Amino acid sequence: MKRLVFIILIALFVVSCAKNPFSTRDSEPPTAKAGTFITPTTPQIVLENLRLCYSELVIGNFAQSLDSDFVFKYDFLQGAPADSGWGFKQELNLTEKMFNDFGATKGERSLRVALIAQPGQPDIVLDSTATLVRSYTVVVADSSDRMSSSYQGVVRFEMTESAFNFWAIRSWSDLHLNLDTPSWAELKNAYR
Amino acid sequence: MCRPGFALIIISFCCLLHSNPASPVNLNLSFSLDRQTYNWADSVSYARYLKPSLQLALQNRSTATLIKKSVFGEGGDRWQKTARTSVSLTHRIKPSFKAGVEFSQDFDRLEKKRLIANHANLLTGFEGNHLNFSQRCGVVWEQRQFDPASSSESGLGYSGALSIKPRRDRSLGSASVEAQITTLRRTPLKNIVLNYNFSANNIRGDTVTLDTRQSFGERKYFPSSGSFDVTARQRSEQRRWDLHASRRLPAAVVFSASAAYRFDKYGYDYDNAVTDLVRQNNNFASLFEYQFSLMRRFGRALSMQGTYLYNRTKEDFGQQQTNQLAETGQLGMTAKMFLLEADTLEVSGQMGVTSYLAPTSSTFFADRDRSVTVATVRMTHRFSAFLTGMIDGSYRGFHAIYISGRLSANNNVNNVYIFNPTLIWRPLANVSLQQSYQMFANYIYYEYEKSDLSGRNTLYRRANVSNKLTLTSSRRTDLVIEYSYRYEDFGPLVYSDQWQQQISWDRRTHRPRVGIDYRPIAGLRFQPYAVYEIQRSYDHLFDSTATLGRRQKSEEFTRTLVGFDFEWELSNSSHIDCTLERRVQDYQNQRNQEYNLFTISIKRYL
Repeated sequence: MKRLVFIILIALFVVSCAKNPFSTRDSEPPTAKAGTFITPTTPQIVLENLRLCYSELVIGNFAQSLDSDFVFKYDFLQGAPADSGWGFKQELNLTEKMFNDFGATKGERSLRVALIAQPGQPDIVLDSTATLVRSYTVVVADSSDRMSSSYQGVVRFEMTESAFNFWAIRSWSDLHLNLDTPSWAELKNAYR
Repeated sequence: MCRPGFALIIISFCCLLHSNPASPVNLNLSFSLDRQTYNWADSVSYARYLKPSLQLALQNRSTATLIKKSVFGEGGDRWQKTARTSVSLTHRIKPSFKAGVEFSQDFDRLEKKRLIANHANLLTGFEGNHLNFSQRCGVVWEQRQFDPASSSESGLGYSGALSIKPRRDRSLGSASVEAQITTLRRTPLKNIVLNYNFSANNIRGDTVTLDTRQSFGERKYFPSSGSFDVTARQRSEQRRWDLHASRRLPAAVVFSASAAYRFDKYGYDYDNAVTDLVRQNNNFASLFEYQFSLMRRFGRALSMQGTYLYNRTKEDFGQQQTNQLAETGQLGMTAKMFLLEADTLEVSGQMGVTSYLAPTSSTFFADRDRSVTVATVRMTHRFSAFLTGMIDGSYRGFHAIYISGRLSANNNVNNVYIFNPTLIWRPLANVSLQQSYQMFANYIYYEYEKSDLSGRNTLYRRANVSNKLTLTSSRRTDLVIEYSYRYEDFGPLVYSDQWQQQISWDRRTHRPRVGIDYRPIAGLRFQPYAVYEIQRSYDHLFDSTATLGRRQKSEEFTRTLVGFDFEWELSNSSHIDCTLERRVQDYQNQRNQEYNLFTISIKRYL
């Protein structure tokens, strides 16, 4: 009898706290233009997608640019011992918050990313790994497209081509341009 | 490039020569150079008993990165260093009680910014049958430099840990309390952690484990990457609960269940001068997850397992547009069959849906569902002692659905198919040949554009062929010859009863490789290699004269890699690795790019 009660309790718990793994919700018909996602058949396309999803605020396209073993490393020096970075889930969470925050005030604020290749740092693309170094400027602009704040630095992307996916970012190392200018990591950190 | 590497070799050999088993030394030295980036990662620890009850211990762990000029706009070299050094002297007064002193330093440097924290502590430790206790108390002295300004301050520091194990067999579990306090005026720290662990099992193999952890913390830190002018206060609370149980049921079914709960809460206060650019909001996130699984073996021929996973994550960041709730339900099945002695078959499948819910349904962009379906089949057949074959087949379906009309135009389906047969031949004792093939197709289509030639519905196909021949000429030498060929094409798709592709471009890559694996003496391995790669890309142009597309070479790329790997196992506890690679690559219509990669790593454990 005791066993039966226990089984019934477990069953009730599962039924009350479960999600159907087969059904998805219906979506509303599109009312706006779709974002841009270019199939990342080369590492350079991943960076173009990154730039586009920041301006179009499409989190799904950003998620497709990251490898599941993704790590973000930054050069903060907030206290001893120094911080070092975060992983895939946290990067996706904070970026989603950032996109939702900017999406909710889309008419008033926008995000723009510019990535520029470094003359002394040619891209290294091997069989299934690649290293790309870029200097960047991330601009937050107001409704009249005037810059309200900007973040600058140098970023080193380590990419990988996985069996199921295309090229994706495995490691993103953010370096301050100088300590007086906020970096991309500081923009991200505000949404952690 | 050479100087730091040689310095590391000399230092490491000095340490290796001056150590003996009575004074254990653990040494790990690593240096790598990749174009303008130099990386060092070193650690050394040394312990020596000056008397049977008196121990001297020294530890140092450091990492450094130097990026040479030209990467940054201002053109200067850039240094980043982190180091922790500690030295301690402990005296075991009784078998269960020891006391001592410890000095330690944390050093962090980023360009003109330096942070140095010095600690001087008295140590005590008690180790009993049911109770363990250790504590450090002393002074902290922190020095901060942001050239040319500098400041310093000192305070008291305490850290302690108490653990209790009421019964030796842990049948009542074990509990511990850890506390840490630093009284620096600008960067004080308070932290307390409570832990409880329990595990039990019986001879039938039924098990129950419980791990719990609760922590509270409060600290001040410097939120900006600039000077040490402003501070922020963070208050945190974390809870962790993990429960796992497994039980053997009738009919040889094994039932296992696990549940986890996580709660993280952070609150922030900032000095008025802190810029909005780096401010974080108060937030909390909670996660609840459980998983059930049933497994049964049917004799020696078949085993089956089914699992169900539920996950619920709630995040609150104080602003409605960033709050979110996510729920996942996932069902998985795995079957393994051992048909004959020479054959195995493994089939597995998984289906899951994750729903992301914004506070007000579909008001914000976050509202979306993500559905993933994965299926894999793996078959191995041993034809004879000389030939083994394997076939892998995989399918992954990914469906992204945005609920809001503002983003639903991005709803897409992404299907991947992979077929991967491999043959391993061993016709002679000193010859082995591995041939593998891979076919990959990725279909992406957008739900609301399925029947349009929109350019966003695409098909990417890839085929790889790889042959690896290993010739063993003697006990010490293997010659490895490899050749791989890769074909890729890509183009838009249009759907009318079935998918039709229009190829936009194709790319072909040839990659021969020759290598030698030479082992002149036991423990020493030298592997030189050379790789040549040529890649040609073609665009397919469509115009009135070429309805099927005119193929035109768009780019040619060649690359030569020459290098070696060197490994030297000096003894069971000492190891040296070295890698050197030179790359020369040539893009069509661009000048040659040449660069070197160098890595050395030295390890010693005793």
